[in-house]
This record gives sequence, C-alpha cells and structure tokens, in this order.
Amino acid sequence: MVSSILRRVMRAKTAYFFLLPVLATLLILNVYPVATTIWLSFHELNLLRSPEPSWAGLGNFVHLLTRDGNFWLVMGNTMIWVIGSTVLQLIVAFGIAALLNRRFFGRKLARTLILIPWVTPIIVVGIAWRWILNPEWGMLNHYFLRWGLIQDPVTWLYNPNTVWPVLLLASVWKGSPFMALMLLAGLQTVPRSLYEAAIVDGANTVQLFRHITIPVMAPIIVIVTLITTMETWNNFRMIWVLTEGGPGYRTTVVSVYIYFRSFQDFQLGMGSALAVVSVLTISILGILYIRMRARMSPL
Amino acid sequence: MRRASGRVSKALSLVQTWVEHLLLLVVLFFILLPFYWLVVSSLKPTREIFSLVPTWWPSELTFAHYQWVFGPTAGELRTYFLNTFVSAGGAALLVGLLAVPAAYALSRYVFPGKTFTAMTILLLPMFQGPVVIIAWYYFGLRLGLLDTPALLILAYVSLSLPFAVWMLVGFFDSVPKEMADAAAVDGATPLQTLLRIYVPLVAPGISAIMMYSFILAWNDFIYALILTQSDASKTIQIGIADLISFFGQRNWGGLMATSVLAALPVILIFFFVERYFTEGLAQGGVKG
Repeated sequence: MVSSILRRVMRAKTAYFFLLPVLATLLILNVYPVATTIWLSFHELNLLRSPEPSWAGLGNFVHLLTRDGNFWLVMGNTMIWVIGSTVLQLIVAFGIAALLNRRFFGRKLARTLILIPWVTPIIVVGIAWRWILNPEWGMLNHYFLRWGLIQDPVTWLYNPNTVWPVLLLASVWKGSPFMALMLLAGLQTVPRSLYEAAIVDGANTVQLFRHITIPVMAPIIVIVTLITTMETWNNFRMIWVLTEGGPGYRTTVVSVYIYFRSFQDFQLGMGSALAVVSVLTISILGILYIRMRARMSPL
Repeated sequence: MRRASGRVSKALSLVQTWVEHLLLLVVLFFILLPFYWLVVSSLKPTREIFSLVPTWWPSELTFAHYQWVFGPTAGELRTYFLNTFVSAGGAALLVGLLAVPAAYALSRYVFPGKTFTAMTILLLPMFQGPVVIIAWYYFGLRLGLLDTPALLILAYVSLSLPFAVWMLVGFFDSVPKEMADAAAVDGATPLQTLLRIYVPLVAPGISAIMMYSFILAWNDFIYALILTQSDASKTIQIGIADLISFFGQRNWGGLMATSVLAALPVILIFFFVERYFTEGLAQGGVKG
C-alpha cells in the first residue's frame, strides 16, 4: 500500500522532471507575454511621448468602447471575416474530403498537392493573388471581360463592394485544404459496416450523410471549426498582404487594428487593450468548445 | 430483372466515379492555379508578363528574373534568405529538443494535473500573433533584443511548441507500452527508456514536428514585421513586402521570381515529410 503510493509519487516526479523544460519555456514565451499584454492594457504607453508606461486604469477600455469611432466597425468586420471564412471553408473542405475519401490512382499525390496553398508563405500568396486580381493585367479581369461577366475592369481589392468576397475567396483557397485533410482523417474513422447496414435498410445518400457521417464526425467537426475560428480570428497576415485593411477601414479586422494602434500611432497601451478585448471574445469561444467537447461522449 | 438493375447500378456507379474524378480535377485546378500562374509568369520576359492577353505557357522561356535575384541589383535579398534559414532552423532545433521529453511524460506517465497540462497546451495557440505582438515588441525594446535573430527564434519557438508537443504525443502513444515496460523491468532508467526505446521509434515524428516548426517559422509574417527593422535581421517575406512598395509595378518579374524562391524551401520540405505530417495531424485531430 505505502510502497504503491510511494511508487506513484516517484513516477509523478519523473513525469514532472521531463515536463519541466517545456513548462518553463511555455511559461516564459507563451504565458508571460499574455500577462504583459494584460498589464500594458491598464497603462498609457505612447512611445512617441515617453518610453515609460503610466497607470491608466480602465481608461483604454473606456476609450475603445465609447469614444473610438472605428471600434464597432472593426468588430463587425472581424465577424464577417471569421464567420464567413469558417463557414465557407467548412463547406468546401467537406466536399474536398469526401472526394478524397475514395480509392483512386494518384490519391496520395492529390493529397499532397492540395496542401500547397496552406504551406506557401503568405507574401507569396499575396503576390500570386494580387497578380491574378490586378486591374490592368490580371487574368481575372481579362477572362471576366471576355466572357461578358463584367463590362469594365474591376479593381477587386480597392472596390468596397468586391473586396470582402475576394478576401473570403482567398481565405477559402488557403484554408480549406488543411481543414479537408483533418476532416478526411475523421471520415476514415467512420466504420464502413455502419454504412453497409444502413444501405441494406434502404437509406439513401443524404440519409447516410445526415444520420451516420455527421453524428460520427461531430467531435472532429467541432475541433476543426474551433481551430479555424481561432486561426482566422488571429489571421493578420492574409488581410495585410492583400488589402492592408483597406479601402479605408473596410477590411480592418481586430488584428489589423491592433497593428494600426500600436505600430502606426505607437499607442502600445491602447493596442494592448484591444488585444485583451480580442482575447476575451475568442476565449468565450474556447470555453464553449470545452463545454461541448465534455458533453460529447467519446467514440 | 435483378440482373438488369444490377447492370444499371453498375453503370451508374461508373458514371459517379467519373464525375468524382472530374470534380477532383476541377478542385485541383483551382487550388494550384495561383501558384502555377506565379511560376509561369516568373519565367516570362517582362513584356510578356505585361501582355494584354495572358499566356498559359511562356512563348519565350527566360530565367532573367531569377538571375536578377542573385545579381548585384537585388539588394539584400540573399541576406534575407539567410536570416530566414537561421531563425527558422534555430527554432526547429529548440522545439525538437524541448518537445521530446514533454511528449514522453505526457504519453507514458499518469500524474496529477495531466489533463490540465494537456488542455493548457492545446489552448495556448489562442494567444499568439497579433494579440501578443505588443508584449514581444516591449520585451525586445526593454532587453535590447529588438532587431536580432535571437528574439525571432524565441518567438518562433513559442509559435510552434504547443502544437508540436501535442502532435508528438500521438507518435509516442503509438509505441507499444510493453516495450517500455520490458526495458524498465530490465533496469533501464526512465531517461534510458526514452533514449533507447522511444527516440528511435518516434524519430519520424520528431523530424515531422521539427519540419512543422521550421515551416511555421519560415511562413511567419507578423513577428518579423514588428520585431526586425534592419537588413541584418529581416526575413525574406518582409524583404519581399519591402520590394513591393519599393518597385511598385515596375519589377513584377523579379518579385515573382523571388516569391517562387521563397516558397520553394517549405514546399520541398513539405513534400518530404508530408506523410508523417498528415499522420500526426490525423492523430492530433481525431484525438482532440
């Protein structure tokens, strides 16, 4: 009895010993910056005036919520960006995953190739898309004009009416392949016998999807959605390389706004307050996720 | 009757297979189009790049834009490439070293706080990039580390370490417990068990997480944008972004050739480790 407890304590000690380097690193490199951001959010730090932060209480937050003319616009833009990207990616990714979930010649190659957008550096993605969308020499305008879809060349990234659809298209293009592979991994865990039994009972494709695929895949759909939501929420670079938040503030999402406040106006305190608001909002999603996950029974 | 319907359904499923193949080809076409277009354009002479009718294959293949990248008028591009290699490589090494013992502990041991640790590690990626970039800048400013590769390496470790640990646990889990137990019975210390039993078996996993870390660092944009300022530490992506504003539309060929070269290392590495990577991804995802 005593020796078994002793052994368990010893084993736990060994585990902590092996975990220590990572825990220390994560504490310094991942947790400490979060703490610093929170601390800074209660301070006024304007690098153009003084390098020393001074206590501001809730001043930054009050300013953001009541006097900052762009804050609610930016939050609205973030919603368009996050919800639009995630939903569209989920739909497209499900389609790709279903197509890949068959045996066919060259399947491995196809699986590798579709991840090229995901693995390509963002500035390269930016150059490639800007070139396609270029109002004067871009192929999109060329073919759309030729096919009569548009009458005049469109400045896709500078026109307030086209900028969001184009951004979402680029986001789906870059994000859904990765999502598709995660969903594919899930699809492959669905037991074939379930489908076969249902087919014997006369179920059609839609019913198979609705009553077998979706329920079995539910946990993985939840995690994939969560990962994508968080990534899109913090996705500064895609928007930065394509529009830099423009035209005007039209595509300025919260991460881009953090950049404007902190590194163009050098209001680091204000920027930190924005970051805190951003994290709080996304944390609510994280908590919801853990709740949902806990309620779902393991397969 | 039954035979006829069998034939019909067989024909139907054949049609379905063809439709699926066709769809897959269409999807692949759109997925690869932007990158294909970039590569092809980078091989065209400047006047063909700016021709009013797009050509799907260069009428006159040229490597002039690539020569420009390595030539004397390309400024500090080569330094940027080197900087990116150093910071991404440094981060990958550190992540490999750190993640192995942690994944070992999380996979082999049961201890108080294990679920909490695993959950925390999974949720840490929420606090990355734009939401902590001010703090990183502030540290850099305070510690005098701004504009150094060291600061970038640390930032990149923070970027990939959580998920790397998570992914590696999956590889550790696939090692039969009996092997480790047998080693322990034979008197191997936990460290010996790790080094002699696990490390050889999960070597593909270790290389996969290091590659993952390298790719993530190479593909970073925001940390390098904020934390570097001079040519001595800028990464290639920031260099290209500078080129856009510097050249505007005058040197698209050079821009595109540089972009292709900037994408090449990660794409090659990815082809190399894709198999292990998607395995880890699948394990992480399904388990999560």
